[in-house]
Amino acid sequence: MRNLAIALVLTSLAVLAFCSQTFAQTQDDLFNGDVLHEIRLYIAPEDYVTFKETNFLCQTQDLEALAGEVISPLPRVVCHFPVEFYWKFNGTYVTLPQASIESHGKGSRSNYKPSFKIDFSRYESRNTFLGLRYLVLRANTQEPSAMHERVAMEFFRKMGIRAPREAHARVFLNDQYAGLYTMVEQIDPIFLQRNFGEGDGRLYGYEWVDYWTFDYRGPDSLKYSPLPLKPENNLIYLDPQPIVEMVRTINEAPDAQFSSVLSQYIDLPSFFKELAAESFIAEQDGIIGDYTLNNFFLYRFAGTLRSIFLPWDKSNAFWAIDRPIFHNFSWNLLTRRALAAAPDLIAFYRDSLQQAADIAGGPGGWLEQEITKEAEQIRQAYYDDPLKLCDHHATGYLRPCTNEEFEAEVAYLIQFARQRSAFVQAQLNSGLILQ
Amino acid sequence: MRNFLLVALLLLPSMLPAQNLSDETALVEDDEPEPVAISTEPVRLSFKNRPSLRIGEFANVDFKTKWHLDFLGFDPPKWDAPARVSSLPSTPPTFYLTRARVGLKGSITKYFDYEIERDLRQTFGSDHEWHPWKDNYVDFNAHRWLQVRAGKFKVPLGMEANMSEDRLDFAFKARTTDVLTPGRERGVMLHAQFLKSSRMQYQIGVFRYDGEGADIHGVPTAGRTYAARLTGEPLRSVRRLPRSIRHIYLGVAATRGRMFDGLNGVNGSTFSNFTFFDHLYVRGNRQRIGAELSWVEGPVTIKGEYIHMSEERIHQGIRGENLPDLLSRGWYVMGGWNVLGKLKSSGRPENPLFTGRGFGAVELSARMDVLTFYSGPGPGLPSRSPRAPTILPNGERTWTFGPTWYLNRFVKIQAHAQREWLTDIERKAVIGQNLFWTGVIRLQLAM
Repeated sequence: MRNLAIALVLTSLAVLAFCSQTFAQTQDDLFNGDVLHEIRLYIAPEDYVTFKETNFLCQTQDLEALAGEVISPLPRVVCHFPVEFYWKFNGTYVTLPQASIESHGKGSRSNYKPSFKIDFSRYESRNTFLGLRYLVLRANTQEPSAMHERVAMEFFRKMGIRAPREAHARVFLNDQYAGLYTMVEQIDPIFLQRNFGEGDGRLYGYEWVDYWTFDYRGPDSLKYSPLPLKPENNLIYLDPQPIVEMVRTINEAPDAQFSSVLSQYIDLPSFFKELAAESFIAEQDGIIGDYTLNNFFLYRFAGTLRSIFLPWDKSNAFWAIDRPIFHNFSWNLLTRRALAAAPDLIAFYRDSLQQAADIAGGPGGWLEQEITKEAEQIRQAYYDDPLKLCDHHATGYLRPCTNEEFEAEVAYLIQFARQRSAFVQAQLNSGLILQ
Repeated sequence: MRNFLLVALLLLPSMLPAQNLSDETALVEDDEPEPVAISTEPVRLSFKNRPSLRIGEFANVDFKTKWHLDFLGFDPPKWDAPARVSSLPSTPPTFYLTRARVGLKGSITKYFDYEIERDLRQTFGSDHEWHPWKDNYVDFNAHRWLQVRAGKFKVPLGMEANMSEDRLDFAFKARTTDVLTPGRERGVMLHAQFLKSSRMQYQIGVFRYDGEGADIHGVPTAGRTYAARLTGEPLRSVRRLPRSIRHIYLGVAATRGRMFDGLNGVNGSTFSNFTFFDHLYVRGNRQRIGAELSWVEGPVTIKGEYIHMSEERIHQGIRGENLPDLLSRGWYVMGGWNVLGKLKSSGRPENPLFTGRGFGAVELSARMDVLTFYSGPGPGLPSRSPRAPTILPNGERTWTFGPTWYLNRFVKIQAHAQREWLTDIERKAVIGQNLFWTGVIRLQLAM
């Protein structure tokens, strides 16, 4: 009897130990940047064929449908496919057998090496994976280091900006190595809850459709949402009117009250901090990028008119070491008016740039260390990647990439990390504003 | 120009009775051609109940038209516009032209009957119509027990589905009918009445596809389909039964066809077109079995229908394994009570408004309709994935009720409300919403 009791206790302890090992994973484990993760996806082969067939049609169809009620030129384009999802943690696979994938990306979209958005809750709305409803697997097809995105987001978070968490992973599709990917936390109500303690406000993703610099397009809310500001979390009651008012205020607020009036609609300190971070990492395709507004989410807090901008997609960061700190400021309506009428905001922007320079450091500083660490971590997985693509100077043409290009880009990033702070510091000291 | 044409067409039926006030009592069944009047003229144009051209005893051509003008209200006040691809639901219109059909129907000699019908909604810009051509067929009367119909017509399954649209009891068809019946298709069908004392009728046909009702955005989901239906009043000859029981109308039907591989399983959506059960991957045969019942006694009508559909999912697992069949089941029961005026068996008022001496007839009716999607048992937990071995069931319970005012043979007004309730709150069509209300006031003009 005594032996039986001991056996039962030991068995219970063993089960508990196994459970704690198996079920103790957290989101922090998934986005642990110290580990090169492994993801396995299983998809019906015929679904993957369809996935590639409809990859670009889905993007077009979504935009057409958002632009208006367009009768489909095709009978029906299937864009979501069921998959089994596995993540390897401490040698054990953690699985979600009924997840869904869809293609992800705009300029980076590729059939050769597609990016995936995994939806854990598509078939079970309460389903999450470690509390996440979505996980983006970025193929990093636009730049040869496969690190721009992750390094940039690490830097944003270091600056105190709410940015997605990221980590690299080897991805296997039906047990075949599909390449090196970056796992990206989706900006969704769960992200909002974690960062702001609420997720019931209005979340919009910015869909680039034409050049827009916050110029007022009139009182018709359809000029602003569902395009270019695509509703993400409430598709029934869109409530786009505060966006119209926000843009009208950007354009029409009197100079003397520009900051105070606009601050009803935008969290201006966080906005200018994000601009400073983007500017420091020489982001070419962001809020004040070369293509005008792009790559951000807008979240309007529940029960208020006030919104915050959240960063997204930093493929084109680290564009040039000598990219001026006020680049495109005169192009964007908001920054142009801030330059003319809100010295407090510009001063905050300069302070934030100083903070960015301090955080990045110069030679041997945080930024160089981060780049070196990530390069070491992913090098072999990148070399093994049979499908790696790049488009080094944003030509719009994705082409196969080589290991030599990877090494050259890593060397450039290290050079950027060593020299950018000094360049920004020099610009801040020069007092130069418009360029 | 479109509006002018619309108004002109709408006014046409209301003008016709004015020429035939005294003839109103001589009503004929809707589906029967105008009675051939004895006339010495070889060609005669008449406007008795509808415009009709007669060429002696050789042929006749009747002009037909059906208009449904709906004033709609939705709660939530959103819908996915039919036949459109949209990422976001839109605000539904208050007025919707649901049907705008014109057609010809008649016979050529005693051997051939024919019908041609087209919906003109798209002409008036109301909606995109995937299949504007409706009933278009020729019937060859080979023998009193054998008629051969060829062309496009309704696949014989479903009592409500096979009823003429202007004779429907409700402004909304049952969701069971909308989702599980095949609708129209091109094919060949043998049919006839037999055992006339029991009013039995058989229909056996083969069709090109599985019917437009099973289409997805105008594209068929199954290939050649076979269908059979047997209906009638088999108890009429059982004299021992009470008279009211002997008149019960009963029917059974079945279809079978091979589905096209892919995401072609049946789907469920609310009247406002929000999907609550999405298409699943299927491969193999689709099979339907239906049973129907109708009982009319005095002012009371009771009808019911049951349809069971199974769709095979051979090799449709993520790793190529066979999955249990997708099963769909729907049934409804409706009751009607003719509270004011009297209705004839043809569904027309005995004392019509304008064209007679009465106000028409009013019928109150209510229907309960249940639709369920599920699968046979399989491995793993039930899921909503389109390749789930065990499908997590979902269903819809719908109540429809309201009055119908039959003004005269041409005009009917229906004011009906529909309450749709989805059972799987997690697979709700709209976030935070599993209860949908729709209200309609329908003006029907038909002849």
